[in-house]
Amino acid sequence: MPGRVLLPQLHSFRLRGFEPVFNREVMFELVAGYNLILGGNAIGKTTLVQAVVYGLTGGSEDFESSREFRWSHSYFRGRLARGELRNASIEVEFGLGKRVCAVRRGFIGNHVTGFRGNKRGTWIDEREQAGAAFANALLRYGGYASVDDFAFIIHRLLYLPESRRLLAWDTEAQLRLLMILNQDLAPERSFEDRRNSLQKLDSKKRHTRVAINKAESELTSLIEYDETVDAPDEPSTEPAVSLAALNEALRDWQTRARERVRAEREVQTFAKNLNSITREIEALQEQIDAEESAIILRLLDQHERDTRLPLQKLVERGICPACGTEQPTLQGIAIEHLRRRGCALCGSAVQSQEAGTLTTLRSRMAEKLSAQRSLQESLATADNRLTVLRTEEEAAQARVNELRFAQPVVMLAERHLPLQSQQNLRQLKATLEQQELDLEAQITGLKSDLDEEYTAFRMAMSLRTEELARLYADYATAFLGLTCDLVESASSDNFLDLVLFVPRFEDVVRTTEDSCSEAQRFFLDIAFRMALIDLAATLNGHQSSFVCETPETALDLSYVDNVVQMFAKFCRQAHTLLLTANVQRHGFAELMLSDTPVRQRRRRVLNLFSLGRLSSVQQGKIRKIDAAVRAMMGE
Amino acid sequence: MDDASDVALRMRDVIFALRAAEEYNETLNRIRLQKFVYLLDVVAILYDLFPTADGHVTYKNGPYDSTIQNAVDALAFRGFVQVVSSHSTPHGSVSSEYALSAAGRAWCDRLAAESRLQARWIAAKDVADRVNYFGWPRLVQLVYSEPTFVVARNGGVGQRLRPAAPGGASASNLLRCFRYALGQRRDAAQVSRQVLLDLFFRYLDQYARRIGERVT
Amino acid sequence: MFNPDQKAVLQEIISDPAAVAATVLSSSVEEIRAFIARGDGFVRKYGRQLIDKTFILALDETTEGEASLTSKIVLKQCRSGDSILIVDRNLKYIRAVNGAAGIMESQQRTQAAKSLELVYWGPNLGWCIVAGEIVSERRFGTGSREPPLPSPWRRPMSEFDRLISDHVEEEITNERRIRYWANKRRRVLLSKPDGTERLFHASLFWWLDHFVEDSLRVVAGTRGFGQDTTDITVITMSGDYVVEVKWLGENDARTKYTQPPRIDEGLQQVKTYLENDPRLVVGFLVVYDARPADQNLSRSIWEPSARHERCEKPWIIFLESDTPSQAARRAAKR
Repeated sequence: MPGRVLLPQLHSFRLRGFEPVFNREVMFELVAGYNLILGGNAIGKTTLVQAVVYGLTGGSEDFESSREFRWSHSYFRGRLARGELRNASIEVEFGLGKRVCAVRRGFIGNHVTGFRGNKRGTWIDEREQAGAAFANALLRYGGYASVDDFAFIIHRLLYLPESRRLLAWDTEAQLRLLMILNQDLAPERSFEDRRNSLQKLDSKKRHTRVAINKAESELTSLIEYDETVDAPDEPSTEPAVSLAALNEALRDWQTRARERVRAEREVQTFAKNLNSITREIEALQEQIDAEESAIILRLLDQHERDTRLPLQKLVERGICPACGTEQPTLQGIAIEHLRRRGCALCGSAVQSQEAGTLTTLRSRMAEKLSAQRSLQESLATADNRLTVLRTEEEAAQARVNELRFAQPVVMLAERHLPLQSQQNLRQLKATLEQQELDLEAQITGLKSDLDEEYTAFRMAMSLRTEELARLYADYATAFLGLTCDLVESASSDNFLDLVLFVPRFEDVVRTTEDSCSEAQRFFLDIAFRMALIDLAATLNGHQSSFVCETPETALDLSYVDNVVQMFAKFCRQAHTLLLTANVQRHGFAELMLSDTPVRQRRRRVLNLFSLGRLSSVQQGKIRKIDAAVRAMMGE
Repeated sequence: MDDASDVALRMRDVIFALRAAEEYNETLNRIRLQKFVYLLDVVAILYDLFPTADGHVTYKNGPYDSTIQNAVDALAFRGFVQVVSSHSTPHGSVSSEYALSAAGRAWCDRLAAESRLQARWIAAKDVADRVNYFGWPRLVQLVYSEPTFVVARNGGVGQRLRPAAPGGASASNLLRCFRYALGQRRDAAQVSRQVLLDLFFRYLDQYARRIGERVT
Repeated sequence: MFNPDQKAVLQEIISDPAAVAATVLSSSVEEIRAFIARGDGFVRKYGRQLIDKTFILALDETTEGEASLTSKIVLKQCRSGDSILIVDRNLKYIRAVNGAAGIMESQQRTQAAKSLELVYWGPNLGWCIVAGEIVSERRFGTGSREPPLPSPWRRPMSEFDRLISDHVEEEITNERRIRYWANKRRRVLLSKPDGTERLFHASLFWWLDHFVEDSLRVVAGTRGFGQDTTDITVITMSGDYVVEVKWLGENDARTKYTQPPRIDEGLQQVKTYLENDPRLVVGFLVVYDARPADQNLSRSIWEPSARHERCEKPWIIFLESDTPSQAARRAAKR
């Protein structure tokens, strides 16, 4: 049987390398009673507190599934410059009973980078050894079953963040905490593991039921289909479209598609050949034109000579064809041009030499034109044929679609049935049902065991529960100003009759947090935590710490005194209280300090205005802020 | 091919066109000469002739080949062609009618006698005969109905005309349709050139009437 | 390709009988057209005198006639049985030859001689036959109803079913435009003047010739031989279609076709055409059924293997012989 756990008590902390947030190293030694971290908006109060929590727990998902409340090393990365990560670290000194340990973590990974097992001991700086020593200390000196239990205690009991993750109405958290704190009465890990098993068995049972239902449904469909097929006397109300007809239609469609493709290729071939022969014809025509023009020019030349037309006159007699005068120079030019086989006037080349192939070329042209005509016909016929084939293909496709849509639904559904017979399905269903029964039996057995264990735990805890209720009532009544006690309420757990501790005041049991105002929720939750811490202290004889961020939020002036009283009561139990507060005249912090002798006030306060990086607004008001702080200090 | 050869071929066409028209006592002006030579190009395929590649393009007054006009000018310069009448058009330009001179006529006879050029001359005469049947005043309308031109003119000015193109809405394809439809017989008789010409010109005439084109 | 106007003009040109005749005869299209116009004009002019007369004007392009043809000449020759009148292209009379004005005989003659004949049956019907081919059938408007207005009935070949139903409704039902009953009560068909098949063939040919919207030309009897020239080919720019015509029942020449094998024969013929002519895209068989109604219902099956895959299912047109009231009484009895 495990011993009782010791809740840690914060002694001091040192934050290094957080220059983006603070202008130097932050170090603070807590004193007995309350301790205040004073600051303003966005000055780093929460970052500092979360760093302390991180230092103790590492922010692993093993104990904290919700990323929002994890505060792992990656949570802080955004707050530090890249290069500064290596140099940043948090050291937290804490007491576990009489032993004072210190743990250090960096912000590269969440592992422990240093551990000191007692106040005057040396630091273990080798990472693995430090981590192991830390874990060992928690287990050996703290009485924890695991490092995760220690982290859970800190996250869910000892630290109340600004986001107000309440404990008071959280069945699972209450159960786990009570079991950890009272693990001498019941092994929490075993209980929790078996509760997880119960949930898994239940999930498996539900899946089995789904599979049974599906098998039943398929079996019904198969039976109906078989009956339809086997019942010749009943006329079918749906058209009997056979698969054979559909397959035949598909084959027909495919055949026509193949024919269409063949026809398309044929058309392409004809078109290509037609283009080719047309190009040959054009090339042939060029040759014919050249021959013809040569003949024409020769005949022209002859004719001009024979008829002595003006150009001939120029060449023979030098008579200008334009003005009729003798122009020997012009004549010479004309003769020279002609000698070079050019135009008499401009000298441009004139092809008047025939190759003598015109007849042959014409004959070839006639053949090619005939071939072209023939190809044109073939192309036109092939194209017509293709048009018909396309129409036939479309008709075949339409026929296939028509047959498909006419198929009865049963035939369609048949494709979705498993390839099983009725017998196989019945067998499968029987197996699944047996499985379901087995699971049910396991669930029932496990549930019974767990119920028994829990009942035994509660019975064993009855005295402690009474003490818890008494402690709670003190704190809660102090805050509310009216009688408030802690009562048991049935939880909404699916399997076990778990108990949830909830407040009752004004004769109303507040089973949900909505049944209280925001301030009531918050401070009754604090009362519950404090009661638990007190109870733990009662059981193991050692004090602890409670860390709470800005308790004055949602608190009106009439309740501030009550809260101060509540905290004072807590501190009188020798616990350490670490609170964050904004600098405000006549605010909560000032009220807390008011009962403290002036000379002791500074020791209780960590003023972040002297450490944090102020905004321009804050810088503008620094004198006023300083004055307020001095007033709070009584200076 | 060089420019001189192009002009030479068109000189032949112009000479043949003017001579063929002359047989019906007709003269041709610049526009009608262009039209006549275009029709000659279009029907050339029936005579196993192929029109020149860079021939007519679409223009404001129908198919136009600048080489034809250059050929006319060259022939006029040489004394083969003369301007027989000249008048102002409503648009303010001057329209001249061309006719062959005696020398031109003689040269035409020489060309026509050349066996290797005869097919073209026969084609010119056949075209003149058909145009004459439907009326020389309808020459322009007939050309406007020519299927290659009908399609090409929609593309605006400067579109190359290819009446011998084997596919599409070309004259060549139209003639193919005639052959195809009329050749459907047991003995697969060939459709004669004369019948094709008759049908082609009748087609031009009927299309023009259907569309109601007017000579501007 | 060609725009609608171009297609329409192309159709007009090609369907002109003169175009076909000129093609066959290698003659001038214009001259042939003029000749046909002269022949038709002659018949219109002398319609009243030519009632019930059947005669042929056979063109002789090589000889010139002397006197113009007159109705007197025609009547005289018809009376003596010399119904074939040889004329020149200006319709000048050359001589007359013995023979009946039958279409089949005319086809045989013109095919042998590669010539042109205009066949006229009375003042109302005329055919142009060139080298064995019926190039056109014309109906002249004297005394008879004009052909129906074209627009609602012009359909493309792709709507052949509607072409047939229009043809049946406008031409066949109740002998609306052609006579085919020799004895309506006993359901006996006419066989004269040219055979029963010729009657229906001519009617369907006329209908297709006038009302196929996308045809370039409709040609008759170019595939079969002798008695079996009962095909019609519709030439379009997207391919050719062949229609085979058959009849079932009995005629006044005691010919009887009552059994389904006649349908199979028709299908087989179409199959042969489709297999041998690559220009054909689709084939049809149209059967005019003069059998009793119960046989039409029960014996109109055909052998699937006889039908080519590009041949549509046969149209079997039942020829009604009851008046509407008779039909109603018969239906009431059933």
